[in-house]
Amino acid sequence: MPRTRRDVWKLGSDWNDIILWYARAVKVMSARPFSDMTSWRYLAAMHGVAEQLWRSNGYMQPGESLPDAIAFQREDRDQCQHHTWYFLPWHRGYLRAFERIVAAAIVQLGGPADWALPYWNYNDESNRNRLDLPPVFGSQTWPDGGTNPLFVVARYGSTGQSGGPIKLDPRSVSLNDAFLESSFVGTQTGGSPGFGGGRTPFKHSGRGDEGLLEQSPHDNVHGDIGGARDNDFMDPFKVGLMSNPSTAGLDPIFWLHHSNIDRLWESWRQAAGHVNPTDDSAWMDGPAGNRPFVTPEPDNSTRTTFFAREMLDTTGPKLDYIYEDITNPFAARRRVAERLEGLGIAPAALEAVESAAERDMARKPQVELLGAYAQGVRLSGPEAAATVPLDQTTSRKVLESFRSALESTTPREPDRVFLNLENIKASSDAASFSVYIGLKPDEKPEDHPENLAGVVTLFGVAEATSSDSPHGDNGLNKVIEITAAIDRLHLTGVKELNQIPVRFVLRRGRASDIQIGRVSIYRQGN
Amino acid sequence: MLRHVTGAAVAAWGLSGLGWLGLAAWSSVGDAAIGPICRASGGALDDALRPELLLGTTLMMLAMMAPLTAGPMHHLWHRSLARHRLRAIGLFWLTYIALWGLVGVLFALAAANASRIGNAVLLTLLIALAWQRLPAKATALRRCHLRPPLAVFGARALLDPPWFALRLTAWCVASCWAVMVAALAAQNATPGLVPMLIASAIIVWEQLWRTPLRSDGAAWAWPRQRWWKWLRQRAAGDACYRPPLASRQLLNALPGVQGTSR
Repeated sequence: MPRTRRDVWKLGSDWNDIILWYARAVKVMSARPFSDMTSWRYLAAMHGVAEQLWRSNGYMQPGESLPDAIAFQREDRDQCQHHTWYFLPWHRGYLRAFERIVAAAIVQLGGPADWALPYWNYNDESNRNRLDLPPVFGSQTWPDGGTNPLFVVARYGSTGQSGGPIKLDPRSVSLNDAFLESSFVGTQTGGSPGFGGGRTPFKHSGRGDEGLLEQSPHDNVHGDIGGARDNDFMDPFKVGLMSNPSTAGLDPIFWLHHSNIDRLWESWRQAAGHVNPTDDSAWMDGPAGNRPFVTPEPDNSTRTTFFAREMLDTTGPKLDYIYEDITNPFAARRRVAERLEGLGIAPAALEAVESAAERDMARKPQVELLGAYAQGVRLSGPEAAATVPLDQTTSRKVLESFRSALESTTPREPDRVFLNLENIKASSDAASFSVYIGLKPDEKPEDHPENLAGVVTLFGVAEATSSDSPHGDNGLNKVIEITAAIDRLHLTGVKELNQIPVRFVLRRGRASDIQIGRVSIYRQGN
Repeated sequence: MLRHVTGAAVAAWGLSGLGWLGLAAWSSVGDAAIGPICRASGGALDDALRPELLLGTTLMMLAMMAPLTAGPMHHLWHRSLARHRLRAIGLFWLTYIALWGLVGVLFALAAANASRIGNAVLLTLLIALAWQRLPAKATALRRCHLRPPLAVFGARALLDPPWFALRLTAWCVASCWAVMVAALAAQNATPGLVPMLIASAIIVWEQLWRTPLRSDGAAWAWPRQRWWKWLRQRAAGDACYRPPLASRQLLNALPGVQGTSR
């Protein structure tokens, strides 16, 4: 009988049994020695560990060192997969191992045998509190007395204050781009990053395109919860636990957030027309590369390796759980149809376009650079701007794609267009900014929400910026679709695309040290 | 799997193969064989800069270093305008191979001059072993993965690919100089291309395959050290550690570790 994961907001009272037993297990696991593979810290370090940050937050005591077992040093620590097509399968296996260990601790404490990890559904429009941190996580006290094990000091949210109210920005949890994308695998060449990310080997950090679900809501929720003390986005030691991959697993809310991300994958995965790379052995038998995915068992002696193909069916032998609700909020929507309707394609032709689009998906998309602003952008104050010059030869292809798509008897979607933010560097993972396309110099971003292309949270940027990171200091890359902005330009009747204005607006705080190496724009045709 | 092999990887390994073929042909001609490069130069710079020796070192570096350019070529291809892709890669390669050709001569001179101090093979091997263990080596190796922003328009679009090649070569020279000098010293004492093949395998392995290095050095140990640690930990009851080069099958055969065969 598979365990059933339920929405934390629908469990009844704040301190319902599922949450209360979770808190008790957190307390027990936190008391275990670091070297114990079922301890809170060991499991968090499997996601990522930064010794100095852990010490500064009190998670390692003076004189205490990281576990010296070679299994920990070489395979278990720093496993989390980001900016890769393994992001979803790795986190699914990791969460399942965590859930089994917590469940075993609960049974040892005399709790129920069927405990399952809850999820935080911040997209549930029927719940007016959906964006609030569930109150039990912000309370310093709990029914068993003493300090609430679910409370974390280094959780600063948008206020920058520990213990302050934490509410997610509705723009942070947008599922639009992810759920309207039908391809799991990204192009990794400047085009769509896909629902699940670009093809890479085992990848803990660094360059590479992250999937759309990883960008939003995953990264944004991390940053919105963790924040930075006093909203200081210059000091890497002031970041909240959730803001940084090397501390995030220490926060008990991390697991409910990832349970929801996993649920969203399941919802997308089961939708018609959405296909995971099940015909690709590099993904199915992944991770490629020379590190395995390994998780500990509740017995504290056995470790289990797993592969992406074992992470597809949640009722399979290595997972054995289901979600209470995997309703697809975008079930009735079709990206291509909506786009063409917006462009004025006659509804009668839409069906043919849809089937042509599905046919095109099987082909490798043609992606090429359209233009770039390579002088670098520094976002040190509230705003920064760049005007991206476009190559005339290539931009004519984009305009031509509109003409041929709208006039041809063979229906097909015009080019999609993507903004790439390359080599993003910053010292604080909590930094976050919004990206607006097409604003005139005198226009205020807050007056033009229709120009908002996306929200970027720099989860993992500190490591990607460090020259000590495995791949040097290349920084992060982000890919944001700006097709809607190009469609709007087309509808105004433009005959030439010469340049695209891009505005960056810091979301929190007043100063940062964010640098973007190159702002580029790509077209993606079929 | 073949459908996912990138054009850049095919080009990089193809160029390497051409380099090895050229080197083998060059060696068979006689005088300018890689082995005698150092002896022919006598350890003096003006002798070493003779055209045939420059050609020999250039072929050698093409063979050894081309596999490392798959990632950079992929970067140049996709970060350039479609009509400038070949130009960008050409400018990169011209700079890259010219620099490596010159650096190869310097390596050969260093190997030749090492014999004046003592046993060149032993001396350079010891230096290489020491260098491989130093944090500075790890720092240089990490920087070999740099992928800088590239300009698209104007003069900078012409300058950025060679500048990329220059920076990349500098970091890669800093990373692999000791192994290369040791291999060249061994080449003087060995017929054929075996030392260069071994050095090439080490350089490609540590850049393209090895577990990325962490700054705390935790991932930085010689393979034999890791086997020794594994044996000690097995003896101490830690059954979890998997030796670095063990196959999945071996891993699965170990008690206490459950895995699925690949």
